Amino acid sequence: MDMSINDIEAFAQKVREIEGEIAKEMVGQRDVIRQVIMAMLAGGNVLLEGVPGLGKTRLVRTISRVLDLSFSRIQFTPDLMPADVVGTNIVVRDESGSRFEFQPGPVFSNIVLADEINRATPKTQSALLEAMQEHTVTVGGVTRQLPQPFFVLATQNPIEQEGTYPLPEAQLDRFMFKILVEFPSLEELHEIIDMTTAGREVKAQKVADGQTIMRLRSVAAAVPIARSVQDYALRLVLATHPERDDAPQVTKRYIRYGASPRGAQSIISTAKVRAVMEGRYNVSFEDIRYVAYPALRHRIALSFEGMAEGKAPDEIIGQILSELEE
Amino acid sequence: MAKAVDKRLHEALKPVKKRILLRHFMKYIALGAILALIQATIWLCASFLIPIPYMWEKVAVCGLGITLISVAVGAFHRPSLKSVAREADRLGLQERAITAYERMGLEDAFSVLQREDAIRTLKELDARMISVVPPKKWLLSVAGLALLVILGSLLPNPQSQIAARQTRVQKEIEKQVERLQNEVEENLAAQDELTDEEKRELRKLVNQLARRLRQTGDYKEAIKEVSKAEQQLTQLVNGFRQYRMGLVGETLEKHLLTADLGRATKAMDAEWIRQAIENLKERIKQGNMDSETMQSLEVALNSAAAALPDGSLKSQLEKAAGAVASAVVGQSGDIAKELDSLKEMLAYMAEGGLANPADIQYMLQNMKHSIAAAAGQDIHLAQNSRDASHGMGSHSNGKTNGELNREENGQNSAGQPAKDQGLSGENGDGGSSGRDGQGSGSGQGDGEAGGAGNAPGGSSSPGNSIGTGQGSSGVGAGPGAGTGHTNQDAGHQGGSIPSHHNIKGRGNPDSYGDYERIYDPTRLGDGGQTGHVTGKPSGQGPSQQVEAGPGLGSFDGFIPYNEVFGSYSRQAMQNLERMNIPAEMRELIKEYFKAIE
Repeated sequence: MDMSINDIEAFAQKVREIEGEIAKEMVGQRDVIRQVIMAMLAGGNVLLEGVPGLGKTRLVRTISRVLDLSFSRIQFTPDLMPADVVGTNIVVRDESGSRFEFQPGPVFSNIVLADEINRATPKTQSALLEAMQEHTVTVGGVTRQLPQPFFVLATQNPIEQEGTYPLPEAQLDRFMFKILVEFPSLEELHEIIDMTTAGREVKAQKVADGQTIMRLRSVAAAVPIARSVQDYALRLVLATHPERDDAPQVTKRYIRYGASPRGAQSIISTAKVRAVMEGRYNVSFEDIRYVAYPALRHRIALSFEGMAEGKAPDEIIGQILSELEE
Repeated sequence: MAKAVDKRLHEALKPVKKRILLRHFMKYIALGAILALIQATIWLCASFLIPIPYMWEKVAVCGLGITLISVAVGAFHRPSLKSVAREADRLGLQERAITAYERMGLEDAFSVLQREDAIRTLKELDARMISVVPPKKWLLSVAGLALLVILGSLLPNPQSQIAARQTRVQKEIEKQVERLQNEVEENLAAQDELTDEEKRELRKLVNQLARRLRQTGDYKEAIKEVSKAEQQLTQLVNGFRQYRMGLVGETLEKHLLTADLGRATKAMDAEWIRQAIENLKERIKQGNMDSETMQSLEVALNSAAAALPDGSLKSQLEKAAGAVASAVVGQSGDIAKELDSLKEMLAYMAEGGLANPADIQYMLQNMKHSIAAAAGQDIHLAQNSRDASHGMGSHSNGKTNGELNREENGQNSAGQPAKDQGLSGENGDGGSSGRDGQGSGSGQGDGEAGGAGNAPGGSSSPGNSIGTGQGSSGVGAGPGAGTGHTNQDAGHQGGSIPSHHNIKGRGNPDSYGDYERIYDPTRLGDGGQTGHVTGKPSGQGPSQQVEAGPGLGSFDGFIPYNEVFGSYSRQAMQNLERMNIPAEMRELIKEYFKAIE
């Protein structure tokens, strides 16, 4: 795709507009918004983790409105079936007779909110695998293309473990980012309360559409990255592998297995987006460091020692970053 | 287009590059300084163990060399443009420079925008932000090492005096060598007694000595080398002499009239030569030589002259032949005078003529003194340890060569010691050329193995005594020396206790084997009493006057026997008590001291 200087210069402008518009409805959570946009423009899916009531669903809704994209919300429950997600063939009777017709599931949207994804059974969870990775759905031997852009935003509650099914590693790996939604500060709470209880709610306006998103994605993919920066990102991913001789001590001690090549892809592609969002035309070490946390935290599995000592993945990633030479 | 843009990037990187290069070289200079200081510390530590002459000069040269090498290595490993770009990025450029560098030549939209962004940021960058100061750790290392070296240099170092002495000696050696070479060259150029081949031999000798001296750092070794050269010179000169005398002898021997003189000349026997010429003179005087015989004599003398290389002997032979020829044709000519001169010249040659060609012998002796003086030593002390092994008395007396002896010219009156100071006395020919009544004859013990010491005094004074040495197991011994003056050295006593005096109790350097050197006056008496030969200038024959300076050195280290005897005797008695000495030896030693009391 041909890309002009104007396209590149318009990128940052458009992203700022999107960010600004979402921020109208979302109080605080600046980093969450930025990271969601980064993942979305890098063509990935996001797993949001946070306690209920922090605005995760609201964020997704706002995004869909700002981007003028179709939006589906699937509340994952233990009795949710795969067909409830991807759709199914149903018998349709009309003048010509009875026939099977594919009834698309809620996954056939630009933005899919998989709310409390860990409440569904692994069978249902895995129904999303193909959609998330291939952006296709296969039902009854027929593969159907999902609308573009396609973006899954899943949420999970870190507190409630009863009756939940932790996401399998294969599925976790398909999320570009795992974003931790923090509890808002006092000021932000004031603002949230004022906005929601005093009827001063502001509606975000549409500032982009699917086509714009696709164009922004292609621009982001072309952001130059120096060999040394790319090397740094790849060394970072390798440093999460405890089986390597040159792995840092923290890795050997607290990590059971490290990030997959998808982790490296996630880091590079989201770092590119961040670079342009920051007004640069190249990826920096700082970009890599910034995206390393959301890109790797769900891709490293803690060892028994790590879990026993209550180590958080972010802490380990931070230590690896501090030991890694640029 | 791409090239122009790339050029702009290069230009934008230039200030950063300059600064980084400066920092780079500062770093290598600091590294060089650290290494230089480390080597200085090593030198300093070593200087406490061994004397190192010119240590600080060496430290400076090595340090400078190391620093230069370090800078050269730095120049060889100059930072590339890529590393300059990376360095620039570390100043907050967020990898703009390195990305632009890597995408040089690309013209896609992103590359263009990125490059422009990089150039703009680089231009805004203040290159002075790049510190050119080497890493703090390095600077601390430099300061620490420098402090260590300074403190180390302030510590009292027992080896420094030795090193200073070695330095002085080396400087002196260099100076003396240069002087020797120059003066020998000058003197040889002016020398007409020697053939070109002989001059070459002498030059070779001097050059070899110069080379060996430059290789040695120790004054004792240097003096040993000079002494060796003196011996070689003596051998060389003897060779020259023998060559001349051999030529003359062989030629004269062929003629019946001069056959006896020829044999005497070949045998290099001065007395025989004198006798042979006196006989000739007598025959001429008595008039029992016809003109044919006289012509035969003239031919013999001319033939002998023709066989010789140019020089005074040749000239004298020709003069004598001329005088004989004049007499044959009836002209008046002083044949007797010319024959006397010839006699003296041949005797002189037989007794050691040419002993000091081009003054080399003198210069070598002077050199030994200067080197010893530079080492803060007395030449005798310096030589004693060496000479001990040769059984040579270091305090021979009188002149060691005829040239110097000639200075006396009969000025020594009986009872007064000759004023000259002999040095090594290795040749035993002191005063040998005391022709024309020069009374400076002095004897010496030549204590070489089998040491026949001979000490011919002034030739015109038939009072020479010939001291006979008795050698024993290669150690010069016995009563060498006779007439003359200050004959203090008599070689060794039968190869056992050497007869060296101990100068001012300087101790062990004078020790010889298990025994300390002592002053042994009884040795002097064995070979002849100390005496002086009275010489009177005869006014005949060629003579040469040399204005003598204050001498080649001083005997300030020499202490008369009676001044040291007491302490030596005491020390010997104390040692007898302390040391494990066989009973019979104890008695012997006691008797010895009693005898010399």
